[in-house]
Amino acid sequence: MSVAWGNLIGILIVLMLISFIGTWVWVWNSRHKAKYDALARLPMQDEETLP
Amino acid sequence: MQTNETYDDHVIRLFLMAASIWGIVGMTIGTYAGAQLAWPALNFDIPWLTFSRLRPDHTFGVIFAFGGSALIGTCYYVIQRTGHTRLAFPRLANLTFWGWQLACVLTMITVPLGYTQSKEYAEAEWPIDLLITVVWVAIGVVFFGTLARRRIQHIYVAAWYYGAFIIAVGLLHVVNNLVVPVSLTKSYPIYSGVVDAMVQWWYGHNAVAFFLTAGFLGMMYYFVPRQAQQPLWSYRFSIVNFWALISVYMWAGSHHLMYSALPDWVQGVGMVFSLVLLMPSWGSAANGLFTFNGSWQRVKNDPAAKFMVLALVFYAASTFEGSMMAIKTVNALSHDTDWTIAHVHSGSIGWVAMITIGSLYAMAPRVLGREAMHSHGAMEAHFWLHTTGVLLYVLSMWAAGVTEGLMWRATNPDGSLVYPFIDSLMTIRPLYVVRALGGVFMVTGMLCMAWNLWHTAADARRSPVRPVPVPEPAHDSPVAAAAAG
Repeated sequence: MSVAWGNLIGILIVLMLISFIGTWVWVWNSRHKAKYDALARLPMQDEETLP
Repeated sequence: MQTNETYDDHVIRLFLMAASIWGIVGMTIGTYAGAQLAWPALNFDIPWLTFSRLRPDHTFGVIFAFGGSALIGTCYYVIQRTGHTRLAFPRLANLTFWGWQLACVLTMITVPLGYTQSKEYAEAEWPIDLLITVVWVAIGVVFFGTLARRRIQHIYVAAWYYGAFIIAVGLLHVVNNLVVPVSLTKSYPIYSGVVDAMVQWWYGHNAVAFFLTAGFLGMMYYFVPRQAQQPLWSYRFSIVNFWALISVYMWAGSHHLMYSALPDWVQGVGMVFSLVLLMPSWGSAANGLFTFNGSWQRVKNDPAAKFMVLALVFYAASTFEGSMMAIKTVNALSHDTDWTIAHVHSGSIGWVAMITIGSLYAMAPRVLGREAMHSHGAMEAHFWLHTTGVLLYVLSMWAAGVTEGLMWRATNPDGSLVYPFIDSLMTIRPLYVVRALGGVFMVTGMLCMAWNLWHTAADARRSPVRPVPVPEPAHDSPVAAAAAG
């Protein structure tokens, strides 16, 4: 494996790690809480909309 | 508060009925093919009845005809309910139903007649592949068209999974089926040698990933909270698991080609990604199971919920098993044995079929204008028939697989094999009988479901079903779209 190829793979791994940790930080941000709580209940509304 | 719109459930009813019929057809063919391994004379020396032709017919029938019909039907149901909007392009949606059924019927007839690309899970010849491509694009247009007119601003996680299923399966189907046609019924792939093998298993594995996992996780993330009548355990966790699953799954396909001519480092990549895959797989399984916390009493009395819980247990078990089997040293024992057959069936009849059956039982009364399914007893019977069938199947094939692996690897001090191949075959033959019996249990269960659905649909056959009105999200709701309507 060439050095350039190895460096590219290394950079990709770091980027993937950052995006993975970034996703966790993003979803646990408290400003999303109200929205996510409402979404978690969305499927239950199917029962409530019976004609 | 309600809008003036109603949900469009007509095409969903069609897919529901098609799924229940294809389930019986696909599993019956599978049981018959399995029985041939115990009693080879059952092929009666008729070419189209031989195992080699019935086996791909079975896999296409259960994955694409049964699973596909259930997936597309529930996808149209879920995208309307999670967006609080009516299905876009209803005529095109109806066309996708008839197009998909035509592709299924054509494949189910031509494969036993010997017309095949000989690519696993992609046997259909090029004219059918073209038809599938057109239908698939149309499904995408209906899905994303409906998504575009949603009233709930945020796209619910189930819809993300369905969207990934539609995009990825379209990509996989086109790339793996690039062929040079030489006649209407014969073509050759543009790839050759180990590249052909790698493309095939990139496709084959991701058919498992995006058809049999992502699509059915979409089903799970909607129907589990709905049936448990509990909010999803952790919506945040579901987002992490979604992105982790779809970014990791694509790279695991080479674990199907361990110890082959494929470069060793590519095999290593497949192994590592398969191990990482365990985390998002168990994440979704845990999220689904924890959603039932607080409503286990409901599970006791509701066969649909029972199916869902057991599906999640099998999902966790088979994904753990899959990751372990991708480790090269474990694979050295399991490869080419019935352990692989046990693994794929604990995934397909444990996870996929059970989440499908549970979701169909949950959805059917709603789209057929009934309070509940016609017979609670028949649902209960189906659950126990199916569970017994799955356990007979999976336990017998695990035992058979490990037996084969150990017997094939046994060597004498001089390096010669201890057992000729026929010895391993005769040893596991009783287990093939048990497997066929498991199949009979499952087919009987599917017949119960078809009978139950037929009676549940009695009113719907006599008079039009009263459409369900689309609710409008309250304007102060944190999920309502900025410009509702």
